[in-house]
Amino acid sequence: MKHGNPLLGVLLFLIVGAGLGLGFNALRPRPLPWVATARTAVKLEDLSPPVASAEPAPTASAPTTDTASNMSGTDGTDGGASEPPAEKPAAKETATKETASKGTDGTQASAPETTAVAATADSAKAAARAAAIKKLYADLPESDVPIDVSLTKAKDLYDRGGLLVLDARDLDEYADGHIMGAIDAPYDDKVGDIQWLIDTAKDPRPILCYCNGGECELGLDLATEISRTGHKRVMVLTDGYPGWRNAGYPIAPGRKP
Amino acid sequence: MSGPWGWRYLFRLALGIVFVWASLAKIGDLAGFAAEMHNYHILPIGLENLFAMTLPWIELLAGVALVVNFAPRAATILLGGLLVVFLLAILSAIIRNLDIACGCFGTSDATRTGWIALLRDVGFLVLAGVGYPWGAAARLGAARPATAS
Repeated sequence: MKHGNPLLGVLLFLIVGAGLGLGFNALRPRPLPWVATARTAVKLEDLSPPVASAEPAPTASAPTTDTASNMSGTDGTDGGASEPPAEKPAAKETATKETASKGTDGTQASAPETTAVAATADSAKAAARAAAIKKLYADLPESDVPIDVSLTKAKDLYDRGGLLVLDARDLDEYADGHIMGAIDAPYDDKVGDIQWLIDTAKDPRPILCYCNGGECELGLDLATEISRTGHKRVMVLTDGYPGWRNAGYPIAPGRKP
Repeated sequence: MSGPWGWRYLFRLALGIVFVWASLAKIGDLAGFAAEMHNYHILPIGLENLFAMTLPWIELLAGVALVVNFAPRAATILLGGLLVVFLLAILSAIIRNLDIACGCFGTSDATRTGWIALLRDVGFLVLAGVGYPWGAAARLGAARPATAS
């Protein structure tokens, strides 16, 4: 090759490199599909409303309307979300008893037992919260692809207080101004963060992604990745941040939600 | 120092190291690189993943070849060609006023598409141009008739 036509060498690099790339991808735990599928969203109006749930209504109160306090990030709520929320008071009571018991007689409750009880209480609390959110957004249909929502609908969902709002723009744009309570989730950073995607997909809250509207597709791209990871109620604010701001809805500057 | 390991090799070595670094960053986060490629809106969406999977490995092979001085002409031509393609992609993003991550060094690179990214690319292209073994090729061409006769 050293004295031959360099274009043959170029061809060899291309073929061997492509082969290695395809082989490496096939060996990855989550290989990329060879053919990327278009990122699409459905309109909320085109989805059929959800079937009424047969589960008992949760006794827990709806999440606080302080959106920012609900936006503390994904909490990794697991499959316990389907547990009857009525268990929450009982679990809490048990935890209280255990704690009281330990407080008066430190030898009765060992550390692992206390940890287990605390974990049970946390799980019950998370389940109750998930059930409350489910009730709060009972009219919101599920979808395997992101759902486009209008400005007014997004505001309606936002005002209910249990929405996870994600800003897909870069950090500088987020700092310039964002929807109040939104978490910074730059698409370029988050798309490769598998653990973040998995944790976010487990979040019981409906998710609203946005960027700058118009030609900007970062919100849709981020929503698509979260949808593909398993979340069924991911929405995209089609008008983006400019539309939200111009409508006079709550916004906040800086790097905090 | 005018042979294949001459002063031009230093330029090729620098270019090779740059590409090895860039390719490893992309290989480490293929999904992120595919997403960054998508943001340019240049390729048909169906081809984006295939390019994201294969391009870093082609860069890695050619970069390693330059470092070890194997097939330097082919590797320099290939990387020079890729740099021209990257340059055109960045230029088109600037013209279309796209504010997106360059993706030149995978998701680890926070550089946005713009004149800085463009100038950096031009700098790498200069490395390829200067590092190409022109002299060796010319000597090879001149020596051929003598050995043939």
